[in-house]
Amino acid sequence: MNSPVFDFTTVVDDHYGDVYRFALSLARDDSEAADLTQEAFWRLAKVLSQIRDPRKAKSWLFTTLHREFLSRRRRADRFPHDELTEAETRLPVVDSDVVEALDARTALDALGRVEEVFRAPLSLFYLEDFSYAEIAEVLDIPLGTVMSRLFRGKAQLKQLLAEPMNGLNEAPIIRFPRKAA
Amino acid sequence: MDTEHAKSVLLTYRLGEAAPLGSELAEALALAERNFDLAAWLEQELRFDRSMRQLLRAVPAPAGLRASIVLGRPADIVRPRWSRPSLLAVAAAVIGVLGFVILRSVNSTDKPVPLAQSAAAPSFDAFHQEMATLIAEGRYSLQETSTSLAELKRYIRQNRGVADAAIPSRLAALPTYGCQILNWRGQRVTLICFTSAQLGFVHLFVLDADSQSLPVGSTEMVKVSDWNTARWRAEGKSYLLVAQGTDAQLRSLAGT
Repeated sequence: MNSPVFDFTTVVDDHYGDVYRFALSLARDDSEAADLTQEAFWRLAKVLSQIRDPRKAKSWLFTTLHREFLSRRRRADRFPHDELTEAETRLPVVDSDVVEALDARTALDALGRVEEVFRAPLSLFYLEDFSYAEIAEVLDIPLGTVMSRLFRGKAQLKQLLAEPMNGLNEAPIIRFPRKAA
Repeated sequence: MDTEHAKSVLLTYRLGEAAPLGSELAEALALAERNFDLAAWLEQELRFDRSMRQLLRAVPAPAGLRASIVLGRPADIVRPRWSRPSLLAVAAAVIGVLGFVILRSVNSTDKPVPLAQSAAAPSFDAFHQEMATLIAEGRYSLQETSTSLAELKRYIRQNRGVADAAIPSRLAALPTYGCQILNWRGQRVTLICFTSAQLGFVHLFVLDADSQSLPVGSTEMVKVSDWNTARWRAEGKSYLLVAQGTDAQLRSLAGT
């Protein structure tokens, strides 16, 4: 049997890049993404001996990171949570050649400008091989909500990529109206 | 189902995963087979997804992130993996060992004691087996973490560990991870944990006792479970190196 120290290192080697990219897509800041990634792994280290299935360790990491991200956002109150309203059903047309001409960082910037509630499932959809059901589990939302958020997130992403004037280095411009309390 | 509805269904379609979309997906896919424009649109969407996936996965993680996760891990999270059912038995054993250690420490001195002269006559083999098992089962808890060997030595000295160990130069050149001071059957023991790009974690136990059974100037190699160990003695102390490497790799670190 390997020691937990060895197992921890193996888990880090297997997932730290993926976890970091997910964190970066959420936080849109290199240092915060690295901090979130570290935090998720350190928390995993505390419970690693209880996790038998490596696949569980991966989903555990993503779930923990997402919760920590939301927790920090709530504490900071920098980004009020927007409730969903009517779905954006118009789908901008983006030539896939345009996407293929992008570099990785620009694509990530575009993803980072998608509304937060849609960004998390969209990140997991693109960055990971998580199934729809696993995305629902990681984000703790119903499967139907995953599908609708993926739909809207992808629509936003395509709109961002279709409109160069949006400028990928600016603050998010696509905001859904906040639901009245 | 019209074309627009089919697009809304197909927008999140991922090849090979249809379950959540159910019968609507089947209907949308069937429509795409009959409708050339919808089929072209779907192909475009799938290509878009492939490109995005490839691009996003190409974003590199910072160069130092892995090391900061592994090396920066708080010391207190390297904890014994005792299962709850055995906790009472282990606690009882620990109390017994502590009592034994306290009784023995009354007469202990700081001078190296040959193992063969101790009252219970513990052999180095017993020490070897217990320490290697400790590592293999992760049942140890580092008291201090640092990437600096000098800092760990300072901690060991301040806490009455075995501070004057002769650490082989190749081993000493590795980055450190942490240390722990133990007391094994009345003998002072220091554990220093190093990190190696090839071997992962490398553990050096230094026993403040001169084990007569160990060779001087050469290294004995012994396999314990998945781990390899090297052991030797020098200047009144006994050394045990535990890592997951080949004989040659451990011998190289031990300097023999």
